[in-house]
Amino acid sequence: MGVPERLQSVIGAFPEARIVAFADMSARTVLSSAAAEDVTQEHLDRLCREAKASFDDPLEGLAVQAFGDAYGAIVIDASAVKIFLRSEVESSDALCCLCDHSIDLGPFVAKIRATLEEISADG
Amino acid sequence: MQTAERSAARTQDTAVKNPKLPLQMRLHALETASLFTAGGRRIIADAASGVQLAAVLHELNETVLGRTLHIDNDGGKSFAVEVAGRRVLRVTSVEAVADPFDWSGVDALDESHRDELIRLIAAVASPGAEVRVAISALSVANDGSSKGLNVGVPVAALAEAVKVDLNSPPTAAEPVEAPIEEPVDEDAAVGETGFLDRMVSGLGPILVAWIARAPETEDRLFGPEEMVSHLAEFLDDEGEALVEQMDKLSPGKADPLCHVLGATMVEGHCVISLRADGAVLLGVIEGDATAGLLQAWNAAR
Repeated sequence: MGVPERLQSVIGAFPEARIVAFADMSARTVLSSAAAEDVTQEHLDRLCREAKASFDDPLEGLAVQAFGDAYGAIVIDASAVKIFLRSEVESSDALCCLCDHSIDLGPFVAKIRATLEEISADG
Repeated sequence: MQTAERSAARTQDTAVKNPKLPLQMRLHALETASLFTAGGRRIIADAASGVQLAAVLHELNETVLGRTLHIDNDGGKSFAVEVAGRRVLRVTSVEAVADPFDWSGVDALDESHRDELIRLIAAVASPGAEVRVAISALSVANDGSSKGLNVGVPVAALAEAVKVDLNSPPTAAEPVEAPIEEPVDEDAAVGETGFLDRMVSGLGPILVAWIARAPETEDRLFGPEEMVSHLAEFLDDEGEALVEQMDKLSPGKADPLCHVLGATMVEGHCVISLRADGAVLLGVIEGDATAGLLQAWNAAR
């Protein structure tokens, strides 16, 4: 299964997920995405920027200082829930997801964690 | 109205008028409809009830004869405790709970274990979870004959610590904050009704330490002093940068925003920053951040 199919399987399993994108964090570029709606490159670029900002100082500095490396971030605002996961294997690999507020976070995070590690393992 | 319904309504009405009448609570419990899972476990709190913690404490308090209560939730977390005489005597198993406390080395509980026990119960009886119970006999090895004196933790002490009234039906309004050792200012954690306060209340015991800072008001603090002082120092040094980071994450600068960072998000610790009501909260989540975060947000909106 390729990266687009893996991302699409997440959308299929979680209708509350509107965008699931695989990004190269070092290049700040979305490499592949799946979406339940029409999305523009602008949308994807913004999501990638927000992923980068969420894993940035000062909050990351506090997390690392207190508890070690941070591989997961959740950002909630009035419009959506954004979940960003970084690979523990390939530090530049990340999944950036935009979901409705009704998403069941526990199972969703487990699913995208597994998906990300499969993608990183495939190289 | 059917006879049973009239009887239930009368019992509930009496309990409301005189909530301190334990006998009425026993009768009410007997008349309450029960739901069971496929595995035969009885559902004591559904996901939308908002009474998970209170429901578990009521179950523990109903156990006079020695029994083992297996409490689990639909997220796969569970624990088992031996209970007798409305006291929790022993924790016999813990599964899928990020629990730093080693229960295996504790043969006999006493009140010094109260706070750890509350944390364990709250981790399984978390907001938004379906909570179930199964009851079995005490194990032969633990029937009391081979052990020394075991005073246990009175369920009443657990209930008092989390402000659950065991003599009234569980209600969603009960606070679920677990007590923290040496709180800096416990009073600061309650009493307000803004978005930020509703989030704090909704997160409950997983939010183990926090500081909320707003212009021209005193800081509000909660949690162990060493954690809170570290958060306060961080806010002193990085407060402005933290607000800038949140502004990058959300275009509506006046709107509430929540940002959580952690290793796995489902165990260990996470840091949380929250912007709402003109204040910034910085805190530490212990355990599964995914379990109650969105429920707390949605309830606070």
